[in-house]
Amino acid sequence: MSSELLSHAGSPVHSLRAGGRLVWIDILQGVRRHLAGKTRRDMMLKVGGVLFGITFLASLHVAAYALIMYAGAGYQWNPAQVSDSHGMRDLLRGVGTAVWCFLLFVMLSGGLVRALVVLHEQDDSDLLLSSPVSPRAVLAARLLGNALQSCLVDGFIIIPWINVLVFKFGHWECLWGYPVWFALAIIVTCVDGLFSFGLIAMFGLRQARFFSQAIPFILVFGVTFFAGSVSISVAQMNVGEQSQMPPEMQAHFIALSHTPLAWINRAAGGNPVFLSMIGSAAAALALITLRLTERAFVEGTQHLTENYGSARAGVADGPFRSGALVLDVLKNLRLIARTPMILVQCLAQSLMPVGIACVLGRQDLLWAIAFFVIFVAGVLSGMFTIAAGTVEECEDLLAMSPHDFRLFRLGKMIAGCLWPQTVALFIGIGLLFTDEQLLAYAVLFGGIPLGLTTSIVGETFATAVKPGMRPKLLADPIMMIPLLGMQIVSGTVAGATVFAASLSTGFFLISLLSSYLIFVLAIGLAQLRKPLF
Amino acid sequence: MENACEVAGLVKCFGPKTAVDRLSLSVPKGMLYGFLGVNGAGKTTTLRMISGLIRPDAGEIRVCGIDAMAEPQRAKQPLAYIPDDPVLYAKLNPMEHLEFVASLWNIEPKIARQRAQELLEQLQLWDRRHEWIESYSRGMKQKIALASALIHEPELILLDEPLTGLDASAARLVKDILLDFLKEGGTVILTTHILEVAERLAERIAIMSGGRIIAEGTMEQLRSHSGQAAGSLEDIFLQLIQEQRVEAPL
Repeated sequence: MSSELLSHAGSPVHSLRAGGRLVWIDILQGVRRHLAGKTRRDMMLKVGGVLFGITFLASLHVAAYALIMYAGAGYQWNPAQVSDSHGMRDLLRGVGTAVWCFLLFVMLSGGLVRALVVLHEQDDSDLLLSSPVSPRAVLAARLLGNALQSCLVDGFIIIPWINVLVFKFGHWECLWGYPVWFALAIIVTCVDGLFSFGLIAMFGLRQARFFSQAIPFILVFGVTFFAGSVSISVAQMNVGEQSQMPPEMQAHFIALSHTPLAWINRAAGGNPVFLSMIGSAAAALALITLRLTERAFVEGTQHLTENYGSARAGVADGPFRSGALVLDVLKNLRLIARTPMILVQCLAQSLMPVGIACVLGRQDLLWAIAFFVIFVAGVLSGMFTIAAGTVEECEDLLAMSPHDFRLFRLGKMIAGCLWPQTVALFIGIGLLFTDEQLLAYAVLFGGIPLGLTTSIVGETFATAVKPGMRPKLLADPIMMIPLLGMQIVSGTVAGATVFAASLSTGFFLISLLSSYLIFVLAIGLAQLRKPLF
Repeated sequence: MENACEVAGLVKCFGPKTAVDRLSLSVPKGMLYGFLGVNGAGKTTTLRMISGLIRPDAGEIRVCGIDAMAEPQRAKQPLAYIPDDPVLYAKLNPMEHLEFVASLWNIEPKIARQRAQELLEQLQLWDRRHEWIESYSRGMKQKIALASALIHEPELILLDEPLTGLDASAARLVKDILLDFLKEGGTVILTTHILEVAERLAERIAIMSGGRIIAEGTMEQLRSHSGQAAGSLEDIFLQLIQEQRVEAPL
């Protein structure tokens, strides 16, 4: 061994360099993972993804601008709406605080899953921890990587807000929002990291993973429920006055601007005191996290990894027997049920529509039920299909069987949408016996095709893991895109169908037609990526 | 003779299960030391403790004279560990992967590149250096893992099942590389289920069962220990394991 080469190995400078390199390697791999594939189909999907991303961000910029104008900011504000200029300042500060709080909430809820995966389940721990690089440097690099990922994933919330303030309204001091965004990501990463270590210490890795999937959705449920309640009262206040924020609502934001949460907004506005407070909080929390969790990072995960067991496989000779489709569906259902992490994610997904339905249910219970069933039929059919497609699978075995491979893809789709569709069917039939028959048709002819749509999309994007590997599902950034898409589409379709049903039969038919158009588009997308026919 | 690795009274428990129970051994420099045992005997846990991945509950470990408990990072410098299922960065090409591994041992980038090229040529992977590792076969990945272990020119290599998944020619290549490494004064501790490999390559062999070493020594010493004067390692191994099971049934 050339010992002179290693004379500085393990030194702080070396640890810093190695940590930086680790972050770079993670980023490089992530980029390559997303840009892999050179076929025409891959290129079309990449171009489509870029165009969608640009359109999405552009529309969010417009939304941010609209929000500021609605709140009465900029140059068209009528000062008569509030008592004095302090009131206007407080109102804008309140709106800004709300945006920053929303970012903080999304980062916190999503970061927990990431913390668990990034800190405890990285496959390269053996290599990194058996090298002379200090474990603290490895942990710091992992935390930094996690913070960067958190920034990138949730950046769509805050980037338009900052950009509009800076480039449209000329508030150049708001450029400080970018460092504040990063500092918040560090804080959130540390909090989630500490929380994940706590969960592991209390419950063990397996249960911690289980809870980490459920907790973000419970948070989402809570926020949906409370924000939903507020929005209903706001909607009631806003009748006949669409262009400006009503005074009652202004009062809410002005009150928010006097809470400690407004410190984030003030820091983002370049206030040196609050900037230094946020910066030092991030630095202090990072140091505390490193100090408290280093030992657990090195030892805890190693210990628990030793005892990790994966879900048992299904019937091995199934693909070769008659009735293979039924066997495959049963196998997929068993695998979903035996992978608690996936099961809990699927069930947790339905919490958000429960929250919305609870809010709607105050006005009309049947509407709430119809909305909830259509939403859940859409989201859960897709989720379960992705779950069936991402659990352990012996693909070689399927390929060797005398059956057409597409049969097994169909098996995954059926396994995925079987029970959400059954629930939708029964509730749809049940609604037929009420006064709101149009809602029954909405569930039967809107919810069921929506479930089939998301199921096709889910199967198209899902990639099975090899036996013995851990399925990641939500923790996999690639799966986040179709999942998010499913939620948006299902929510929109459910809302639009129920709303249209409340207006007239004509609107209802137009809404159904749109749903079927989405169904056709989904088949087209599937055909492009993984041909069905 | 100076020892590359010394272990004394090593204990590791996972919950109620004792994976390694008061294990002691010394491996002199320049030796290939074989670790045998049935699944769950404690071989991998022992290697992971020596490599610093798991902290023992009790006992002492010295790597090339360095106390691994007191100076864990210094003790890792002369060491390389290849697990039974080595994980490589799938979306990197082998040069990028090896350069990254070299950076973990603080090797100058220029030297790392040169060394990576030598190793890839030696392992017959140079022609495919631009491909991502994910496209490699299991055997090729095993070779990359071996190159990762050798890139910082360690003094002691810990190998957990190094020949799994390799075809005959690749297995031969790996064995030749290990023998070259030994000739240059390196030390290897390997676990394997392929007893012929241990019999042919290892100078000393330890047979583990239930977290303890039940027999240790050269082939001749093991033969006399088991009372099988002309027995193969397989015969000796099966007999000792059987005796152990009779003494301490599971």
